[in-house]
Amino acid sequence: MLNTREKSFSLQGFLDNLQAYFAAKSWRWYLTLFGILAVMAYILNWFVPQAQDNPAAFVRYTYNGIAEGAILALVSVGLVLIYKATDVINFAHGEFMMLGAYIAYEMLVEFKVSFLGIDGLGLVPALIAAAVIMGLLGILVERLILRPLVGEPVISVIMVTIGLSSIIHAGVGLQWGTDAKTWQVRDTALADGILAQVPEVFPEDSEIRQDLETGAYEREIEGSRRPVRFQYDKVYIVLIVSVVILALIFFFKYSKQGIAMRATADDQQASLSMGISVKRIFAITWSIAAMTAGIAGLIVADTGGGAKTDIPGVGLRAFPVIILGGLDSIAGAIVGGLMIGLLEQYAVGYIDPLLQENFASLASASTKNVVPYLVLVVILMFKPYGLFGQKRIERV
Amino acid sequence: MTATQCGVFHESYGSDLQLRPTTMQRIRIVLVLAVVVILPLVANNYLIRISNSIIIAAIGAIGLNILVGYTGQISLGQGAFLAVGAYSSALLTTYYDVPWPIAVILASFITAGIGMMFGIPSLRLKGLYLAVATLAAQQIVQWVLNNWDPIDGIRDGRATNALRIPDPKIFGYQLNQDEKAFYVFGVLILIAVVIVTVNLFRTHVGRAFIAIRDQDIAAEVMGVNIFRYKLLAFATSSFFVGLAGALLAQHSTAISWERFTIEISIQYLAMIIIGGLGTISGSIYGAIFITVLPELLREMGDFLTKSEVLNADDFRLYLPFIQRGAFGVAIVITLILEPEGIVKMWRDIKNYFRLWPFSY
Repeated sequence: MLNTREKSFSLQGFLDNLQAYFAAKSWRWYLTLFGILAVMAYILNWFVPQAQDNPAAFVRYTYNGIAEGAILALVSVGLVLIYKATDVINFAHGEFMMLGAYIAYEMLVEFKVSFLGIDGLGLVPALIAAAVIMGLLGILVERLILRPLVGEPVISVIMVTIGLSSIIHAGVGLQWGTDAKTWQVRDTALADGILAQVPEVFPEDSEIRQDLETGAYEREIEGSRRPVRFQYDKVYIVLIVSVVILALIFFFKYSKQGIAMRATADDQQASLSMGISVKRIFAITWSIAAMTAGIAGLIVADTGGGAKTDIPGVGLRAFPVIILGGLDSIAGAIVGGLMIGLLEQYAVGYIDPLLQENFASLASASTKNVVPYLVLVVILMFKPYGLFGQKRIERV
Repeated sequence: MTATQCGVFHESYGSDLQLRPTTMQRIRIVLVLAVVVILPLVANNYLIRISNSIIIAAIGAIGLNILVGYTGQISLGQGAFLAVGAYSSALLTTYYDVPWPIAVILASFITAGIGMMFGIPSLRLKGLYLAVATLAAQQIVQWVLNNWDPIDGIRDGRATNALRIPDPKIFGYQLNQDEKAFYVFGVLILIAVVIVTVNLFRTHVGRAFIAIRDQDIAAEVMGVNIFRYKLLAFATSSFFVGLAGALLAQHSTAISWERFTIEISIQYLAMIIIGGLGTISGSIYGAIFITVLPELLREMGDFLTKSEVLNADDFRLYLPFIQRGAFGVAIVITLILEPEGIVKMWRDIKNYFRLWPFSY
């Protein structure tokens, strides 16, 4: 009886709580809040009219941003998993992605896999193969390289993953060379089937639909104007990422190993004394992370011109994401991924033209790569553990 | 060698303050200096050029080691700070006609300032969060170098990415052409840097750095102003890194942003890891190792192609990957087998022979 709490809602009580919450804050907190609100109001005041001015462009940037963000989220989830379980940031994650892409290339082009007799769905077995092989590789990497370094300082463990990234990069270079390895299997079946449904969202005669199909934004690259078209197939990125993340959520919520993994992330010693094999958990963690990286790499390669050696750059873009969302928060990785993805696209759409108009000396600049880092530094000033990260309490 | 010493005993304050208290250490330092002096007399131009790269790398690695090895603040922004040093010295000499020695010194101070600015997040960030915040420094500086037109050079009336630097001259020697002259100049600077840094860690400032690395909260309780000393560590570290960058610029005829990417940051981190974190000699060993490794591989490959074991075209194609793979393998093997680096290996070898034939 003592534990039952009054559930009924009283406005007076709510207001009292609110008042107590705000009364407890110092004037500095209010000043910071006011400053943040003022800056946000200023930015919105600049941004909203532009977005309203050309809604089609805004929809396109948002759309591309969500697709990019989904990939970043998938990459970041792997990084966060590794960090949560083993307190390591994996600097070889981009290289894992690259390997996944090359495995998919081998499957699709060398072994010519297909699924249900439809050429277009060859991507499905390729994806499964990439996930399985990467999963095994993850276990191998953990066993051979990471386990000897348990208990070493952070910098050593970071460096060993950097060393690993160099080795993978060298191996890929020796095996496949520097040219991009492309494949074209998503031809008619997929495009006519599922993806053909997408244009139906917007009516035929709508301005947005026409804009999405023809009027892609253009950027001047080395003298030639290259149109960057809106890709309907980006829908499937969001689809695959959602499926993978949902699968992960169910795995962590209901499976025995998933629960053991959460327990290990929470308290290694306690879970060790409860009979959980922490070594095995580490191996599973690396395996799952490598799997997600492999899948992400496949998607990046499929939508971005094939398997090539600059895929690790996408892995580098995931670092602001995980710091922004908080190193130990999976929700943070997803939200952060979408935020950075959108931010990059809005930077392309709205900040680049601004720079071109106002600063002659920065005429050819693309702010896509630097804006996430600028935002990151500003946010870290106020929230040093990211948006959702857990604050660590240290004792001496 | 029948009786060995079991410790170093000081009988006066004078001997306690010495950097090299034992005879063996003094003999060793004389030997090292002898090698340094004899090298330019016997070596060819190619070897001296590599030595010059080592000197520059060693100064940069010592700078990075102050921050990472001694103060425990992981930095991925080394390339950015090198770039700030290189570009500021280059711009000062190109556009403002500052004599190059003054430009080098000014560039070091400018880099120290920039380093301090990017050190501000260390007030609240720690460990991996700080590492990624320094990655932000790297990306932002790289973006500015890549996109900002005024720092592009001009060749044949067209803007190029490479910035050409006026020839630095000293006593009639042209440093970017005459490798031997640069060698003499560089060795003197490196010796000065080593003496300054070794002594730095005998002062209260250096001890404060080490206290912050070992346990920052305890250090704060002991009265170390953490924020001040962290900023100071960023500033001293960046000063030497900026010096290395400025020397790099003066040694080359032209610089471009490709030489200051994140790969360079990683190479410098590898130097101090392989050499030994938190040691000055380790920084130098690491600089030698990382600079010599790719050259050695290339020489070996050249030898194999000459004896027709390898096809020359294949070799040229694969060399960058082999070099990169060897770099990765070196890091991984060092960390797994001897996490404390070359310094520890050297100490183990010394101890083995000092105690030989007894194992303890």
